[in-house]
Amino acid sequence: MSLLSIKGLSVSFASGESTIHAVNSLDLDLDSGRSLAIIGESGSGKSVLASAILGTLEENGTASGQVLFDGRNILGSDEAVLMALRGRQICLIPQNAWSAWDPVIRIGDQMTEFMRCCGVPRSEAPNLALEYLKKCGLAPEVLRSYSHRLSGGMSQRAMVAMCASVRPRLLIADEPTKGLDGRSRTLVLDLFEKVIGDAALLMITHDLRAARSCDEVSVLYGGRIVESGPANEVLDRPLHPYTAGLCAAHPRRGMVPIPGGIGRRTEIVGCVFRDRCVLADHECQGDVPMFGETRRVRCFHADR
Amino acid sequence: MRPWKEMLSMVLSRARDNPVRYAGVLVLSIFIIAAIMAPLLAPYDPDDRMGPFRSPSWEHPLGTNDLGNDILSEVLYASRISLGVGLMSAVIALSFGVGVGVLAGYYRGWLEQLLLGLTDTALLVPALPFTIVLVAYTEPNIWIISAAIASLGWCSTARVLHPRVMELKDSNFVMYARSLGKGDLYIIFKHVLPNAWEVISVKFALAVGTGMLAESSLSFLGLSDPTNQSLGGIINKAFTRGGLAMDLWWWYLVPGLLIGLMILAFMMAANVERDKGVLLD
Repeated sequence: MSLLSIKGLSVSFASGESTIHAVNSLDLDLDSGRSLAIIGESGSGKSVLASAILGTLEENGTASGQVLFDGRNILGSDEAVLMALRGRQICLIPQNAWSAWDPVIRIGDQMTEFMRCCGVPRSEAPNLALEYLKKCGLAPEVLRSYSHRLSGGMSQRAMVAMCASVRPRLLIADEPTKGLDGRSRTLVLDLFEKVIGDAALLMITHDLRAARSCDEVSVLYGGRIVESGPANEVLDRPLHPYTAGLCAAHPRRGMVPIPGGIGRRTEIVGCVFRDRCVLADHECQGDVPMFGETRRVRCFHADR
Repeated sequence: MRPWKEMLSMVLSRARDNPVRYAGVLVLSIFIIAAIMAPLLAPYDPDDRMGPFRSPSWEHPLGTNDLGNDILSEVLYASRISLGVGLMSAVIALSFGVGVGVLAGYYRGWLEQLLLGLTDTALLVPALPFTIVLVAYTEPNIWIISAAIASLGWCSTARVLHPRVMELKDSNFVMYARSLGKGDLYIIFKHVLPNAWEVISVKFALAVGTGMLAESSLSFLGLSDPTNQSLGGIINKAFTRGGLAMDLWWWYLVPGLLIGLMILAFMMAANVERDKGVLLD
């Protein structure tokens, strides 16, 4: 049984008169010790997915479907159930890690407070914080400093240290390499392999190089997974026209943008990518199933 | 380095970063120390009667008034009252203003509408006439005067704090704390208020200044606590008992200048725009 198994998850937001479908009947599975990258451009529903798993959607959002964590559906659970999971079992490294630190409290105090919330005894917390900071290549002085004294990469690594120290079973990292230079990016990505042990990692990113460091990749477009499979295969031999476009937009591969924008999704009929796709025809007006077994792709025209 | 030397060099380097603020703090400390030590510094008991209307001399640096009280001693004791009423009205106004700002910004909804409506209404009321009416209809003692000044002083704090609290409530670290199960009180006292401290501290210094000014205006108009004479009260006496007519400028000019200087010092101490980072460590 997978640690995290999402079945038919849909999330929509009420916005004035209309409803925006951020995530549409999404399925994914993630086993312990594996890592999965969710890639896609801004507005594809990546961060909403993380909020839905953690039960922290905005008030105007509604989610349906199933989020099975360890075989138990946690979608729509009581706040008490979710709180017992958050931190202890599922940890989120939020987008812009620096903004998750309170600027007027020392990093060390925030780390120990977090650990205490996650059930680490007060006496052990400081040593544990020190141990994990060291593992993440940070000096002990970081404990006594404030977040605005740290660089972007350092606060990101401190956040990884804090989350890893409570040994969660699932770590969700939202854009962990956003705004980092090449060296910091490599440091942060190496850390995930080093400190998370047998936990599962769900990495939400639009950085293709970061995605490559994961075992598997799922490509999200318009709230739907359009392609998934082993990371290197998907990124080296993309099948879906959207994945191909994403890869071609990468600076090393000529930086060719995909024409058009992702737009607001107020209806869910047919292929979500058809408005921007060169291969689109009448067939794409209808519902598109997922084809394939380990390499899965949602397209009639993919070169399978 | 020895600890006190380290402290001194730290204070000096901060003072260099924001000379205006630290000049204000320095002047303020002098005034506050002088007010606290009034019994030691005053050459005479302010109630002692010597000859009336004496001109400034070594014996009486600011002369004596119509009853023969030493004016310098009176001024020193009166500055305690002026500062005390300013501080007290600021404490009352700030506690109320911070409470309203935090409740409105944190809980939103109908409570926000109600509290902001109240704040906006209170902002429309002309402060000084309102305070004059309040004090005129009650017994003017320093507590009532402080409360009357604070009765409208809270609204600007609430107005300024409200958006800051809204912003903080939506910040990532507050969402993080909330998703871990921290309660509202914990979040307000641990995350929201410390982060809004730059707003609160500035508002406090400004409130003390405006409180002192309001108190001086009230006492100048004769609405003062008869047993606790403030600087404004001295000026009022100088005007009503012949100080102006006889051209005894030291009687009213010195307390007037002192009020001005103290208020200026509070305003200068509130100058923190370039000091934000330094407030933290």
